Amino acid sequence: MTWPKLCRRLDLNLALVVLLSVFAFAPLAYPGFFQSHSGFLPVFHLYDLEGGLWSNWGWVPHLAAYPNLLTGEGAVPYLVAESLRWLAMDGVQAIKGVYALGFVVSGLAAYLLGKRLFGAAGGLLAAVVYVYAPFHLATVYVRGAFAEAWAFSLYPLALLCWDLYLRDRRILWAASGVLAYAALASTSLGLALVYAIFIFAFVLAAGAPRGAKSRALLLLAAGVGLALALQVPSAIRYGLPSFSDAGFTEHFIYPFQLLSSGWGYGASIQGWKDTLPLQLGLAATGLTIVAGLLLAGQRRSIPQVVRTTCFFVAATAVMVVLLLQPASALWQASRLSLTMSYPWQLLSLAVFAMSMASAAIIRLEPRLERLPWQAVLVCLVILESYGYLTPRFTDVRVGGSPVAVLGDEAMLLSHEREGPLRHGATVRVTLHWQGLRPMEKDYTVFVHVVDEQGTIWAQDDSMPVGGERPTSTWQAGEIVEDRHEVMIDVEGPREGYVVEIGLYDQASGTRLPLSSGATAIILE
Amino acid sequence: MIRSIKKISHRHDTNLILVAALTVFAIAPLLQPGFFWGAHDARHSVYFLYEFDRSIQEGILYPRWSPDITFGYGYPLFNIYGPLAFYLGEGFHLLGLNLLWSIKMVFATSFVLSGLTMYLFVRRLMGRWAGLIAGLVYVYVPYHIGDIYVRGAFAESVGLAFFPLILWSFYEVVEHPRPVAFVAAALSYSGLVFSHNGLLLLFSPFLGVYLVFLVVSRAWQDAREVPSSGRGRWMLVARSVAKRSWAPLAGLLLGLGLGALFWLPMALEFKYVRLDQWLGGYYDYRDDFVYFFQFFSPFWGHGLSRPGPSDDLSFQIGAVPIILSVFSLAALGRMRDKVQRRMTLFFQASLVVMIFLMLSASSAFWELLPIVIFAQFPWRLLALVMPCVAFLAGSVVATSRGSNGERGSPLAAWGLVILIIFASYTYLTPQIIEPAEGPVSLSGMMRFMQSSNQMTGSVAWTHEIPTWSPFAEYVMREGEAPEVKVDLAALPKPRRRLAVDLQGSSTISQELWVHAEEEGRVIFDIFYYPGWRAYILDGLHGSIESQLEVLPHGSIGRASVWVPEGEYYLLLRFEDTPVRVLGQFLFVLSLLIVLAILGWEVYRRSRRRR
Repeated sequence: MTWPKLCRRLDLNLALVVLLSVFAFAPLAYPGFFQSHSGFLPVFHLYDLEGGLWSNWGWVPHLAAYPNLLTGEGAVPYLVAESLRWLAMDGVQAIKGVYALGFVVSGLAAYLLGKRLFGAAGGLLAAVVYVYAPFHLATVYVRGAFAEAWAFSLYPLALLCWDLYLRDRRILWAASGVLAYAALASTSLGLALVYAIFIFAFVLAAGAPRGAKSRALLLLAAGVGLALALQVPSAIRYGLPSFSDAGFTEHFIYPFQLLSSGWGYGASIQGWKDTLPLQLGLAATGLTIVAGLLLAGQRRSIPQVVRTTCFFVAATAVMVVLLLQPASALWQASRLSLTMSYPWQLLSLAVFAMSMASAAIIRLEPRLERLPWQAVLVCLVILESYGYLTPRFTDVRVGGSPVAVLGDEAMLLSHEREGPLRHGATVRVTLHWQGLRPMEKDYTVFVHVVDEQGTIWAQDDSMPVGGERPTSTWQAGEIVEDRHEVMIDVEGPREGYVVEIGLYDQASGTRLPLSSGATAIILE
Repeated sequence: MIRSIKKISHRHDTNLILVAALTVFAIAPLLQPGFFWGAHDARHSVYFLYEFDRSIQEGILYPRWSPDITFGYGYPLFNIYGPLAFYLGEGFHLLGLNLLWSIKMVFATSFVLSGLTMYLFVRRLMGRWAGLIAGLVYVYVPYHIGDIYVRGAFAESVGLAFFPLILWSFYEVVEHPRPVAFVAAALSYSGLVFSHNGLLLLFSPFLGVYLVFLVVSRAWQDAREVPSSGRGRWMLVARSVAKRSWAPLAGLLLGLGLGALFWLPMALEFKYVRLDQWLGGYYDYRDDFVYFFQFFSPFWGHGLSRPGPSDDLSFQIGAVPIILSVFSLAALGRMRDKVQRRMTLFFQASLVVMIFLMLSASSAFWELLPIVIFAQFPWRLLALVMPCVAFLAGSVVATSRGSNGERGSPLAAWGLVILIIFASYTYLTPQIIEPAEGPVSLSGMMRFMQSSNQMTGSVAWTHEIPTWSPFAEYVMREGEAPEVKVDLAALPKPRRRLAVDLQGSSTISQELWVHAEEEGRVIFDIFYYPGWRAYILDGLHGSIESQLEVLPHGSIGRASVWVPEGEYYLLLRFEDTPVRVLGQFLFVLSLLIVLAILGWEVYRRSRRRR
């Protein structure tokens, strides 16, 4: 068999998609971990799931906050991570493995859908736009939104199944579609419910016979039904989700943010000063606009292509509108605000629609199908996001669970002690804190060396990092290394000390409680 | 007007001019005032050239000894370090440029030449547009920019210009074994030999594999063109391999012969310098493997490589070169030309192997080939990644050989040209700062050596690396080098029993008047090294009467001479050892062969024309 024949048969583009995704997943090969808003939480969640894998029916991540089934994370990405654990990976490697797999699978799925709708060259462009969409990268490297990152791979997969089912009524596509949708719902239920509307619109806009459309819609209903049914064990275990959209309307995006090149690692805050990247991406925006313009000038294109392109361009426009403040009433009236924590989470669907719209330009302008032009477009897309691929790495090593969770505000990830616990000795303690969410108060760290009677013989009460990093400056997920040194009073007993560590509010003297109810972490 | 432009572009290869012109962004930072003293080896380059110039100004055409290094104890720098870049720098200096501008001009020349040579190589195989893309990728690949603006790797930058030339000329030798190709192969390989030891060590095994690939694949093609089957075909392949092997082998040998002037003494006398200073500590290759993510990271820094993944130096291959290399897989499927396809396959495989060899997973290979550790840093293999990605990038716009009509996609090629330059544009930021040790001078050199503990190379007899010297003290006080390099304090007391007086000196000699009432030792403030010889002369600047033994002395390993009783003139001089003489002989012999071949070729052509 000749090389060209082999290429055609094997669809070399699948390999190209994987290879071209390398810039996106390469940072995950760093030997340590990276600091995102969730920090090490996904790792701890994974170990938590593993603790009782076969008896954990209805498990959802719940370590830092009480789970909300609608807006919180589902179990599917953790189950994928658990499968990687069986390949002898540790928790950090497994979580990074799923992130990497997410990039690759999302690219492949976008390619397959794009190829089906706009040809192989279009599929390749769609995959690259989708993988390198700034919001996709931010979901992994800035937000550390484990479930949402995995959801990126399920959006195109589910839609592909529906499209296949629309054109070819085979049980395989129906089953795959329902399963993909159920997996999405068990990854992020809220987003899955919004995505159902997206699929609904896609089916309606498709140029398929009415019967096929009806069947596809029925299938969607079945998918939603199955997805909801799968949530029952979780609902039994954790209770029904709290139907509240408090704070939702304070996080709409300002139009300039959609087009801004700004990149930061902060959390979403009220107003326009977010440092969280909320951009659509220059390349994706440009290509979508070009697709719209080409569409306007089209006379001879295949109606199916025009119709599909129209759908994705329109879907992009609708979603962009929904991200802005004027759409607030619509969100609340439709109760869709209950499905997400922030309206900007819809960006994941917007970039999906944009990647497909981008793919359309190759079909609408066939000259772009030539290899050098493909290379130009792909270079353009990747170069736009290349500078964003610099996560904040950390070399901190953690165990299977945090040492302690203090309130719902901070975690002590690990600690090291130097020096004997003996009177007259100097004890150095290194603490690795992780903020769980932005804190309003400046808590004081206390490191007390106490004897068996609870008498304090050495203490250091100070702001973290010698006052340089008050807790109000901690970003969500940021890891702060905090060193303390105390000298045990020579007048104290010879031995029998323990070290008590914790955080307290200096104004009220109130200590942040641990999840166990205690007010101090004891190191022996 | 348009017609005349068309005529010019038809007559001349405009893309060749474009490659040179578009290198302007890469060389522009060199044209600003000041010097990028922030680069790792900026001072080394300047002061090495300073030393080289001192020797050339004295009429030493092939300097081997640098007199002022290591606080004036001297060092056989150019005996073990490729001198070509310094010859180029000296050329600019003799034309009137100061040392800093000479160095900048060499960097600029190396940028332009490397782009042009890569263009010519790839144009030969895949057409003008492919050549343009490959030439520019070769110039703008981040490692190339970092090599110059971050590392200030003077000699290495010149070596990079030879890679494409070698690949091209050996390709021609195998495909069309003509005398000119044969000479070009020898000259280009010897150019690399004279440029940089590390690159030579890394590139030579690669060249070996390349040659085997070229010969075997070509032999296979030869055999397929003749109808035969089974055993007969294998015989044809073997015969073709034998037929096509001699020319590249001879070219390689001729190249080695030309380079023997440098590599033979380097290889055999390297052991006489302290190897731990070249291979231990910071230069321990085990600390310098690349982490996988670093190849793809946009990080750019001006710091050093260090153990672990948090290097302050970038090891990225470059976004556009990688993307285009990936697309070369797709290009492969569209190539009709077998040579193009197999060359693309070769460079694809080479790229994968190079990347693997830079990862710590390949440490076993490095242990197996101890000679390769002289390359110091595994990440130096990024230099070999450069021709691979450049070739593969070119393949994306490749046109069939010999097809004049098809022009590929010029507009897309222009798009790629812009992206190639744009992707590296932000990295073109050298650290232009003032040197902490002051302007370029001998005292500046001493201050630099003292503050940084660099350029303090020592010889194998040195047990205690000097941190200062009477020579340096004198330079700091007087602003110039002392002429006498004799440790007068070490002469026997009272002084009249053994007195010396300097009669003449150069960078490689000391002539003394000696008055010795009894035998004694004269110790020179010069490192001992093979080649230092001492003679008794029959008068001032007279002819040699007898030879005295030069021996290493003390913990520093200085040269010393046990002088006999009497009054005479003593000459200590750095001369050629038998190995260096053999190197010179092989060089001259090879040069004569090259001249003979070229002369014969010229004669043949003129006869044919008549």
